[in-house]
Amino acid sequence: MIRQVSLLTLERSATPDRVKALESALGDVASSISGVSHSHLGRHLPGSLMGDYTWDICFDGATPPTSEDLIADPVLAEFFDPSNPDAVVADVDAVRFEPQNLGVPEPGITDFVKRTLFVRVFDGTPADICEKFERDIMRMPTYVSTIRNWAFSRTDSALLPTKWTHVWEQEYDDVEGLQGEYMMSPFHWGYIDSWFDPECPQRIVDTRVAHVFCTAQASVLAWK
Amino acid sequence: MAAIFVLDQIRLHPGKLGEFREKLAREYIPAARGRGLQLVDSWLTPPLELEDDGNDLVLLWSLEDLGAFWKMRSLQGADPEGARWWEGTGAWVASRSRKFMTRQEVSA
Repeated sequence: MIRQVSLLTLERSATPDRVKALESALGDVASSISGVSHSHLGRHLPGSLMGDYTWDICFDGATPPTSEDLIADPVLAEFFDPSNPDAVVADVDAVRFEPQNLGVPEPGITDFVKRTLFVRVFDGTPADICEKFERDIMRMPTYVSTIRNWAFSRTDSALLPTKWTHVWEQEYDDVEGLQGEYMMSPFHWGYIDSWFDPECPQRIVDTRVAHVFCTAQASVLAWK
Repeated sequence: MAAIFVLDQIRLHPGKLGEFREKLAREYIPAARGRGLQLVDSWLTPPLELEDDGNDLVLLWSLEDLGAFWKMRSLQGADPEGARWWEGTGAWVASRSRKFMTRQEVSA
């Protein structure tokens, strides 16, 4: 199974009607485009950093359409084609990967918040240090009770070139689970954050991250 | 929430204590104060400057609360001055660690 997570930035000139049409088309690509088994489009909530939407899709074969072919599909091209004056999407920042580390104890979660974090671990970081960072991130659900489901994956630049190295996704019952306990957990600020803190000598993650969250009706991380 | 404490343990190259203390006082402490870090105290171990080995300078900082912590982190993201300062200390600093702490009562 291959997943793609895309952060979409709208054209400033996009009209409400065109945005509504985009929402309908992207949320429905699983039924309209061959090779796509699941799709979810979520508008970012206030506090997100980067883009206007998270577009999650899952492919049902080992050789999915390329990212370029996907947005060039007749169903979607009108929204993405920069030569179209009515294009809606100004920028796509996407990653692809095979899901690697998952904790989905609540696959039936409904009406919740999905948070996505793209990060870049610096080139040249020793493998054992990177693996320690990865193990530490995956300890967070142990210490943050509001994380209902989670996934942590290395991106695969062979599937889709990207500057991002990892994707850290969580599903919460509500925004408070993310902005409250997640941010207030001593395990987060007092331990995990040192991997990100530019004044900490153990830091290995670029300061620039993509931190976004949106509502969803059914679990994305439970996709199979 | 109560104060957060930040502990820096800095291994200095031999003979560099005086210069580093001056550099720290002149450059880092005022800038760190602007990010919410208050220097609580500082120590030297072993408790005399060694001529043939490095000493550890230990700095204890405080942040007012968790809001101050995330404000500091936001400021670091917008302005890499603090990170650059540490990157430029190689002539004085051999190695260092930074840890975050909360007060823990211990009673006999």
